Amino acid sequence: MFLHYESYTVVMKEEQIWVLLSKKLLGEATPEELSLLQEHLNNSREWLLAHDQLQEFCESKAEESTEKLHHVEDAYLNHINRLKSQVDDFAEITQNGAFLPTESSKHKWLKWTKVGGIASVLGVLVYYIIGIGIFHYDGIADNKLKPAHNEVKVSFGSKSKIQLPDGTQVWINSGSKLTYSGTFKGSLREVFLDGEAYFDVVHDAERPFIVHTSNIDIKVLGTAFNVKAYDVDKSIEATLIHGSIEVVNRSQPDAPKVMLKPHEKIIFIKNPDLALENDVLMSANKLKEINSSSSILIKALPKNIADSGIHETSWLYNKLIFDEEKMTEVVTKLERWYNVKIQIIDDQIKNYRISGTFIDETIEQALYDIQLLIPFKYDENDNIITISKKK
Amino acid sequence: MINDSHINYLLDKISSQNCEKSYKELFIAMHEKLFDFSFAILKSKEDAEEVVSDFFINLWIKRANIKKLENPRLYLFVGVKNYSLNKIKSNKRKELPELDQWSAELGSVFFNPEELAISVELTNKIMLAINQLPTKCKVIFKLIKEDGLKYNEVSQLLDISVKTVESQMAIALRRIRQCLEFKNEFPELHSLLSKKNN
Repeated sequence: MFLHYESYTVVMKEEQIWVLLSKKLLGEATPEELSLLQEHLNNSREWLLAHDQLQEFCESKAEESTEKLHHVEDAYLNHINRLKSQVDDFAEITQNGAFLPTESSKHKWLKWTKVGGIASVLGVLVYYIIGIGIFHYDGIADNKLKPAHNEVKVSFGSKSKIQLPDGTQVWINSGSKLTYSGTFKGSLREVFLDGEAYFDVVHDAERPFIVHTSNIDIKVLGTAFNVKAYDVDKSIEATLIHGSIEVVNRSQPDAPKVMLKPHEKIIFIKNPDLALENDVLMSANKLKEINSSSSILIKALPKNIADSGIHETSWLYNKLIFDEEKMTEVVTKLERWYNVKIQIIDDQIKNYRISGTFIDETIEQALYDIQLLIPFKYDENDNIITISKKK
Repeated sequence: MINDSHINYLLDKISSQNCEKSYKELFIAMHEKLFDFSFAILKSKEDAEEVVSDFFINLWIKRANIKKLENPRLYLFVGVKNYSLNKIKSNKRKELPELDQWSAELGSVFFNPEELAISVELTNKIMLAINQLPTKCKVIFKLIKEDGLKYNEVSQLLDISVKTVESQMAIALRRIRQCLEFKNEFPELHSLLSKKNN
């Protein structure tokens, strides 16, 4: 009877110490409790050892696993899709500060975009058209009829970001279309691009990732790069941020492949015969010619600049940059950026070259700024901005 | 782990500057914790995912009304608890299940075995021991150790007394200690020593 009582009090006391110890280790103990506990610890090596071990344990933090991070990023993308279906004041998907809201400029410019106006009010315009039609693409070696495919279209004035089934992230610029097969399974990961996109490709040595554009194919294992390949443009550009990529000219499959190093840019001119008229070549004195056919040029990016300062990927950071570009080029970019139609009816103005950066200017402000460099006047009629010589 | 003052900072940026970047950061930092908490109540991944998403949608919609909070972390958990409760109602069940009926698994390792120099076997043993604790104990342990809530916050959140939180945490830590005792290279010697001490 006596023994039983004795052990009972010990148990009680032990319970209490465990409560105090737990509170201390989790930062919940009061000063009185701390000193009470300290007395016990001083009198018992066993308790001291328990204290030290558990303290180590409580301070230890699990490592953040990348798998978890991917999972939460997927959850975030799903969440944003749900959010956007309920609110219209959440702009673009943000990534490191990119795609910050540009609502003010959009709203002011509704008058320019009456036709596509409703769409731009909604912010991003991304159509997922799943399971339609048959793949029609010429010039791919294993061109079989592919079943369902996904098409992501981003309208002028908008940008979007998607995640492909393999986890690869793609930021898609205004007026672009990205297509890929529904399942994204098989020995190759293939996407088709008409427009501009930045790819951050998940590494998979077994399954190369290929971006098909109108004329060239870009093959990668795991890397980050920007591709500008609007079907209507005269040239295709790919800029490598890190990793390595391989470029194949589909019309000359036997020609040596071109490998790009980080911070290099490849420019492919679709029709070299027109090169003299071609804008890209005109400014190409900085370019190093590497291919005898003269349709491929490689240019090194300026060294020691932050990724956000790289001209080619500036659109990711919501910057529109011109670097000694002809007004015809500038106008094309402005049209995509602001979802407007612009025509220049004066040949002299068409050939002016300008440099500059726009961040969140409206199209009005942008035109005003350009007017400071080139004197011209403009009118807006039927949603078309016409630039003409100042009289 | 994200701390309370940073949660307040993000909430303030969202509220006063419509900052989407902060919104994303808050979502990323809290998603797993809030999801697990909702899952513990609902036992359905789809429902829990939807609850957390709905909660964050409402946070965005009502962002102008967010005020500076004393317990921002508790605010997020209470919000998710209420949304989970609404989910239960819309699923035509009536009330929050008893704490014992919740589901709580500490799915992943919540400490760093390498740092503590403990083996894979021992790690598994600890995880098993924790997961075999009574549900109530596990839910409380997880909220405090993994999710960073305070004792009194857990008491408010789960509507239990602070005394209950204290005793459940003591039970959990004692269980972990029992596992860690085997970490010593010479357990025989160790037990001899402790006997001498007594």
